[in-house]
Amino acid sequence: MLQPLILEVNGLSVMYGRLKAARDVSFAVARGSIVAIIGPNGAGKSTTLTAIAGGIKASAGAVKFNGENITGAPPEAIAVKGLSFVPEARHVFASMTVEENLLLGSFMRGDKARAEADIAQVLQRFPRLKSRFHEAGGKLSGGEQQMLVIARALMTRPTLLLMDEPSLGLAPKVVDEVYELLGSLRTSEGLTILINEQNSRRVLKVADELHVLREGRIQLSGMRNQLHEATISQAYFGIAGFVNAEAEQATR
Amino acid sequence: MTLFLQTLVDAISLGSLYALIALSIGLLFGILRLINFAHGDFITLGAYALLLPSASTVAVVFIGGWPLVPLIFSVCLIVVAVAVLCDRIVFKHLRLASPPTLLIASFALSYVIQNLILIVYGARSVSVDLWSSLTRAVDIGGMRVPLLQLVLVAATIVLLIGLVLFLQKTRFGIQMRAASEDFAMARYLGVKADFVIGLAFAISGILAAAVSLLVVAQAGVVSPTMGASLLIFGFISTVIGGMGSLSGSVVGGLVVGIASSFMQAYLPPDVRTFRDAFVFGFVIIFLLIRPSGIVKVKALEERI
Repeated sequence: MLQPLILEVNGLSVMYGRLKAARDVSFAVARGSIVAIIGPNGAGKSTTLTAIAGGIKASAGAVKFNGENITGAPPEAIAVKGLSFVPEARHVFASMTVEENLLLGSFMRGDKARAEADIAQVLQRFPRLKSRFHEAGGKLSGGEQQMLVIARALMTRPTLLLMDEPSLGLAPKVVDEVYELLGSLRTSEGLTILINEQNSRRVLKVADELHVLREGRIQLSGMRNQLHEATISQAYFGIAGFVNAEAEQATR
Repeated sequence: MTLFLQTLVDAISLGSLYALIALSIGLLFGILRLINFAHGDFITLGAYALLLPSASTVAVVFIGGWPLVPLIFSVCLIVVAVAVLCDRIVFKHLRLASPPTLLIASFALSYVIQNLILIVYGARSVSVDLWSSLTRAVDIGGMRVPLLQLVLVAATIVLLIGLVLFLQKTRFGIQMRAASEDFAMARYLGVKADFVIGLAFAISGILAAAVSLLVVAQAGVVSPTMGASLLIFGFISTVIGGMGSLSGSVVGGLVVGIASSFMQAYLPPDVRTFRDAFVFGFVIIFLLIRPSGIVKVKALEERI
C-alpha cells in the first residue's frame, strides 16, 4: 500500500493515575484503508482512541494527523481538522431531536446552506432517521442510535473516522448493518476508518490491517491477509496454543 | 379576595425575580457542574454600577441617571464583562476540577467581589432613586398594582422567551444544550469548550444585570450584601426545580416566590417575622418528598 499516511501514532503512553493504560503504542494508518485494533476488554483500546481524539492527555508520545502534530490539542481543534471520533456506548444527545443531533455535526464548518445539503444526503443514506427526524434522540432504538452517531460524525465531513466498539450492545443483525455501512463508506466516500473491536470476527472481515492490543501494548501488527489465524489468537489471548470457542470466533 | 389577588401579583413578581436568578445558576450548573455562589455578587455589582464611589449616605448617581436604553446597555455590559472575566481568571483554570472545588472557588470569588465593593463604595447601604415613576400604582379591576411589578413580570417573560428562543433556534443555543447534556461528546463534534462556557457566563451576566435593575427600582436601596441574600433564594429555587433543568429553574423560582409571598400575607402576625424559616422549612419538606426536584434530570444521575 503506497497511499500516504493519514495518521501516525508514535510511542503513545497514557496514565490513569499510576496505572499505565497504554504503553508505547505505535502504528500508522494509510489513507483510504480500514484498520482494526482488536484486543480483550481492558487492553487499552478505548484509551488509545480517546487519546488520539484529544479526550485524554497522553503522558508520552506523539500523534500526527495528515503530517501535522496534534498531540495535546483540545478535542474540538482535532475535530475541525477532519478527525471524527465516535466513542463507545453511542452518546446520542438524548433530549435533543435527531435533526439537532445531526446539526451539531455541521456547526463547526459554519456553512448553513451546505449543512442542509449534507443533512439531505445523510438522510438518504439513513432512511430510518428520516422517519424519526423530529423525535428525541433518546427515544431511538440502540441500532438507530448507532446509525445516528455515525450520521452525525459524517456531518462533520471527516477524512478519518475513529469508531470505538461499534458493535457493543447491538443485535447481530444490526452489527452486520453497521459493518456493511462502514465498508461502503470507505468505497463510496474514500473514508479512512480506524475501528476498535472486541468482537474481532466482524471487524476482521472488513479490515485491511490489524493491530492486536493487550495489557496496553501492541502484541502483533500486520496486513490482514498476511497473518495466520493462530498467530492472531495467540497475540489476542497471550497464551501459545490456547484455543477455545472464543479464539476460533475471534479469528474466523 | 382583594388580599388574595394582591398577594398573587406579589408572588408572581417575586417568583419571576427568583426564576431569573435560578436560571443563571441552572445554566452554569448544567454546563460546568458549577454552583456559582458569586452570582449574587454579579447582581450587587450591577446595582453599584449605577453609582459613583462616595462615602455619603445619598448615592452619587452616574449611569443611573442616563436614559433607559444606554443605562440598561451599560449595566449589562459591565456585569457581562465581570462575569466573563471571572471565568477567564478563576474558573478557566479549574476545568478539570471536581464540583466541590468549583463550588469553593465560587465562594472565594464571591468574598473577593464583596470586599472590593466594600473598599470602593463603603459598607453603608445607600438609597438610589431609579425609575421612581414606576412605583406609581395602576388600577386593574379595583386592585391597586404598582406599575413596577407589572414591568418586572413582563421583563422576566421577555427574558425567558428570549433565552428559550436562543437555546432552541440558534446554533450557539443548540451547542450549549448539547454541552450541558454531554460535554465531552459535544467537544468531539467541534463545539468549542471555552467559548460555550464563556457564553454561559455572559448570559448569566445579562440575567444578573436585569435582576439588579429590577431590585434597585423596587427597593430603592443598594447594599454590598443585597445579592448574597437574593442568591440563596435563587439557589433553593434551582434545587427545588431540579438541578440542571432550565425549565425546572423557572418553575422552582415561581414556587419559592409564591410560597414566600403567601406566607408573608397569611401567616399569623406574631410569626411573620420568621417567614424565611417557614419558607426553608417548606423547602426541606419538599425535598424530603421529592429529592430530585420538580424536573428530574437524567444526565445528572449518570455523571455523579
